[in-house]
Amino acid sequence: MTATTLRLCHSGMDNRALYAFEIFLSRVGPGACRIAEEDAADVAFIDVDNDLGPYLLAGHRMLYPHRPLIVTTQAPGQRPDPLTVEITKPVGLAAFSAALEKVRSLLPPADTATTLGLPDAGDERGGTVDSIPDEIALDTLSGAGPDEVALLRRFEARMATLHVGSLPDADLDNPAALAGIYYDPASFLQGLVARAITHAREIGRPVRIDDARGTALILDPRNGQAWTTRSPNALRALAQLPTRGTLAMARQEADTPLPEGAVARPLDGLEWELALWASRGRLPRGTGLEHPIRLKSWPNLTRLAVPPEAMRIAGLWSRGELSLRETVASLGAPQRYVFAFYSACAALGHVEQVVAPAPAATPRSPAAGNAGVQAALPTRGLFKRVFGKLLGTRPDKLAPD
Amino acid sequence: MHLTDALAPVGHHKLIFGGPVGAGKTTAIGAASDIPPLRAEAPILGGPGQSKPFTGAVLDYGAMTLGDGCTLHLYGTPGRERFDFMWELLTEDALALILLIDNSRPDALDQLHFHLGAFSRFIRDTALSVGITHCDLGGGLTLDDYQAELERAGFGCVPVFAVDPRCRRDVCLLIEAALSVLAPVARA
Repeated sequence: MTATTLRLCHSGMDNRALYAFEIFLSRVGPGACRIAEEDAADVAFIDVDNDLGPYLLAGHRMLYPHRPLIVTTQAPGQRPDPLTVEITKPVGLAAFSAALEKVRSLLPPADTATTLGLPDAGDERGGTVDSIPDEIALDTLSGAGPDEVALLRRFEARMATLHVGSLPDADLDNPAALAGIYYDPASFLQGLVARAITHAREIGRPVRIDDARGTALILDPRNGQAWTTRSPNALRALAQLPTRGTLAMARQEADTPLPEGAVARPLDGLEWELALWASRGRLPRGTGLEHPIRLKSWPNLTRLAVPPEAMRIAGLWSRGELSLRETVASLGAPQRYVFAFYSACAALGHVEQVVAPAPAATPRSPAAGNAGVQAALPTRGLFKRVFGKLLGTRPDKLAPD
Repeated sequence: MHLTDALAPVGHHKLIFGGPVGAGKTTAIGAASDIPPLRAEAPILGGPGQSKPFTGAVLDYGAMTLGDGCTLHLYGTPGRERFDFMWELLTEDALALILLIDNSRPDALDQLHFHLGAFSRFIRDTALSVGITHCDLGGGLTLDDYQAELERAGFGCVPVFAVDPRCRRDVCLLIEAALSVLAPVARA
């Protein structure tokens, strides 16, 4: 038995696949690794060639940015990330063992469990081990069908907390509870960046935002670019807390070089994420719950982080003017999903509130106004299957940059 | 699999990809499809004085498998206007139109306007999303310009996204947007 046993999690396998995988692991070497819960794992094992794989990959990268990954694929060489170890399929014992060794070298010594005496994966099934080949065809093992959609939903919900927080639904009829659903964008990095962009437009040159560590952001609305010197996680942390005077805005002189390591990104994408992070499922102060929302234009969701249920919310608003309260009720979605999406849309000017509350939704979309067509729509089962399929295609933008 | 086989099923759910030649319909269908995409081309004799036939793209086909034996068929309309007689046939019983517009063309807004007119009845009966391609090649128009044109044409607030038709995620988000307009209450 090796001195340390790697704890490996294996998202995306159904019971049948897991059984075969555990037997495969038993051939890798006694004590080389064992199946562990996702939260306690040293390394995650993901097959990226099925629909679910890329989603799981992005999910793990977001939730566990410092965790090594073992990725199986038929097309290696596409992941230069130093924490990702690729294995070309079909997965052989030698390649898998080498991958485990590589993972060990990536982990700090204290991170691997000293698990002398722990049972090896597959030990309890010793009678069947000899009949298992040295290669495993992972394509046939991945989970499918409703379980897969449920898994995608669970991951979406977990990752959603990074964008929309975890605020529980409030009793919208309780005035005391309403205080908790609002925030003041001006008190957050979101508001400071908005002011900085306005100022930069006025003076026709870039503006930077400094914190105690130096320049955090440089904003240049002339070319729609922002440069950030902070990691996505650090930026998110900065955006989620009120600034309380810790940040300052200053003009970026023309001859000042960009800070070392500054990374460019589109300005609208930055504003969008800052709004999501500041909102954490709350609404900008002054937003009415009963006033109808008018979607002026769809946010460019192919180039922005897609918060949970964004498509359904935008789809609903594009069909007619509904209040936030009605939106939550119509979709059956957590309030924080609707409120966060509204906050981000408001930050980029995609929505406005109609002043007078409307008694009922007013159809605007041509499709929405055609009752005959609505009756002819396919069953909801089709849409459920389609949306389940499409959910699995989103992963590469789920993680922060 | 022959193209005629793919076209044969009646009552299957289908999406239409429309747009001018070069907008990226073939590429987009290939990106979203779970099967190798099919492309039918036909030699068409040119007009008077043109003795050489040219190749006209007739249509593209792809499919997304949804489980339970259900398939979402993806049809790309012929880009050339001379084939517009096929558009109405193809859109019959389709769920929605995914319209791709090449932003690098100087007549991009005209192309949008033309296709909105050509598919007007179908769009009004179903749903539309618009993918703006080749945004990296310039062109000077913004997504707001396209949205304003859609408003002017009476189509209201339509999903308009910048897309790379080679990117499966982009194409699938376009599809999801169109279907979300059609059935926002439905959920995976």
